[in-house]
Amino acid sequence: MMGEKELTQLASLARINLTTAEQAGLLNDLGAILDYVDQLKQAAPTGKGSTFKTQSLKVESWKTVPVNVLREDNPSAGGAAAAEAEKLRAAAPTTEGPYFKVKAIFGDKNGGS
Amino acid sequence: MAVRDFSQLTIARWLEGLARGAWRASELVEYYLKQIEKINPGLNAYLEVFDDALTAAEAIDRRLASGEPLRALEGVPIAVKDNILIKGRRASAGSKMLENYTAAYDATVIAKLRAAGAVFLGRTNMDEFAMGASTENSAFGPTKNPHDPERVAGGSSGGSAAALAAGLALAALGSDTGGSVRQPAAFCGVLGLKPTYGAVSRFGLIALAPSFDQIGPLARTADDVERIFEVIKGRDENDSTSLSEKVRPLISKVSRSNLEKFKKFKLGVPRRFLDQGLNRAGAENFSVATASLAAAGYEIMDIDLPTAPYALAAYYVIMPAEASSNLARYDGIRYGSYFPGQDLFDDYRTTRGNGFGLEVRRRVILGTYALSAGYYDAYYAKAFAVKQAIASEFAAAFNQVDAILTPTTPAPAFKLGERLADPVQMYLEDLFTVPANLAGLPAISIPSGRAASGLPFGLQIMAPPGGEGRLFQIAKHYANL
Repeated sequence: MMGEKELTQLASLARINLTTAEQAGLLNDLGAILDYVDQLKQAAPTGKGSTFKTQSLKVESWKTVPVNVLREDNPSAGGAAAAEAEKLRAAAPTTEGPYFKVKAIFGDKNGGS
Repeated sequence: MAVRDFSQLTIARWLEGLARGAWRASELVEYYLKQIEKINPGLNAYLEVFDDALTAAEAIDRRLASGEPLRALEGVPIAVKDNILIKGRRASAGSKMLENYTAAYDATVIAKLRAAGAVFLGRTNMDEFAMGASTENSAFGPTKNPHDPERVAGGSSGGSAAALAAGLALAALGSDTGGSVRQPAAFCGVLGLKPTYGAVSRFGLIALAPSFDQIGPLARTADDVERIFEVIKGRDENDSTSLSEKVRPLISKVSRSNLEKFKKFKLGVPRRFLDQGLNRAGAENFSVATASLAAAGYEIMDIDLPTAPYALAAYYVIMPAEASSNLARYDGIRYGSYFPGQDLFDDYRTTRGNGFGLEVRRRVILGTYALSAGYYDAYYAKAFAVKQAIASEFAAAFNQVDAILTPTTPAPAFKLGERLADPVQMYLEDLFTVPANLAGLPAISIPSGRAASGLPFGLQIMAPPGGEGRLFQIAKHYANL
C-alpha cells in the first residue's frame, strides 16, 4: 500500500506540486484504485498473452498488422522547417531570440544531471 | 421568411436538398448558431462557437452557386471536441494547462473534413485531457445532459454528445480511449463510433493514451456516422500507427456477399462478463434489445470472454502509464500555461500542480507508480499480458460470431456530482467499453430504448478489426426494428 513518503516521492518524480490536503485525499483515492487494480493478480492470461509484441500485432488467425513503423526523417526543403519552428516557438510562454527561456539549470539543488 | 426547422435533418437529406437548391449552407449554420445561443448556456456543451462558421458556409454557397460539384459533407456543420486541433483555433483539452493554447496546424481529420466541405461550428466541452466519464473533470464546468439537466452527459466527449442530442450540430467528433465516444453517446441517446485502432489518424489529437486513442464520429443516424467515418479514415504519413485499407484485416468467415444478408449474422453475448456489472434495469433493457434482434432473424448465442472481467483493471494500469509519460510534455516551457516557481525544478512542479486538475494529477501519479522500479512487473507487464489475452479471446470469439453485443454502460446517466468522490465508481462506467480499446476493435453505441425515467440506454456492437461496415449495417437495421 502506498504511504505518505512514497506519494511525495512519486509526486516529485512526476513533477507535480501537491498541498498537504491534496495528499491525504490522493492517498485515499490511489489506495482504492490500486485495490481495484490488484484483481489483476487473479487473472490468468492464457495463450499468446504473455509476450510483448511491439513490432506487430499478431493475433491468432488475424493477419499481421504493422504498428510502430516510423516514417523517414527527411529534412524539409528551404525555410519550411524554420518557419514551422517559428510558429511552434511562438506558443512558448517565454522565449529569447530563437530559444525557449528557462531558469538556470546549473546550481539547482534538485535538478541538473 | 419563416425559420426552417432542421431538427430532424440527416446528412443524406441535407445534401439532397442542397443539390436541388432547397436551402443554402449559410441557412443551416444560422439555424444552429441560433439554437446554440438559446440552448447552450443551460448545457455548457460548447466551450466556444467559432466566429467564422457563417463565413465558411457563405463561401460554400458561393462555391455551389458557381457550379462546383457537391462534396461528401458539403455544408455539414460539425462540432469538434476540444482536444482536436483546428489551425488558428484554441484547443484546451478541457484543461487550464492549455486554456490559451492556439493550434498551429490542422489535425488530419480536420483537414479531411474541411476538404469534404464540412463547416466547424465550435469546440465542445470534455473531461480534462479526456480523463473522465462525466465531463465533470473539465476545467470549464460540467456539461449537462439534455434529457435531464440534473444528470451528466457522460464523458469524456460529453460536450459533443450533448450538442447533438440538443440539436446543436448535425454531427460531431469525439475521441475514445476507453469509451469516451460511446458512453456519452449512450447517455445522450445518440450514436457514437470507436473505429478500429489505426483506422483514423491521430495526428493533431491531444494524446491521452496513444495505444488506445481513436477519433470517432457521433451523429443521430448510422448513415451519418458512416458518412463521417468514410471521410476521416485512412492511412496518414503523420501517424505511424494509422493503417492503410490494404493491411486492415477484416477477418471473418463471413464473405462480403452474405454480409448484406443481415439474417445470416450471428451475434455473440458474453453473458458471464455482463452478469458482473449490469443492474436490473440495464439487464432488462439489454434482453429486450437482443430479443428484438432475434425476432428479426439474427442468431443470438452466448460466448465466453474469460479474461474480459479484468479488462478495466488492465486499462487502469496501461492508460495511466501512457498518460504519465505523455503528459510530461506540459512543463511550462514549450507551450501551454506557465506558473513560475523558485527554480527550474519548482517551475515544473508549480506549473503542473496548478495547470492539471485533480483527476489528471491522480492518473499521472498512478502511471508513475505503475512504471516505477519494483512495480513494473506486477502492474504493467501483467496488464499487458491481460490485454493480449483479451485480444486473443476476441479473435477466437469472432470465429464463432460475426459481431458481439453488450450494453454500452451498466446503467443510464447518473446525477451530477454523484460519483465525483469515488474515482473507482466513475471508472466502472467504462466496464463494457474498455475491452474494445484493449483489443483494438471497432465498436459502436446505438440508442436502444429508454429507462422508466425517460433516460436513454445504449447498445454496444463490436466487430473484428476493419469491421465498421458490419457495425453500420446492423445499426441501420436495428433502428428500423
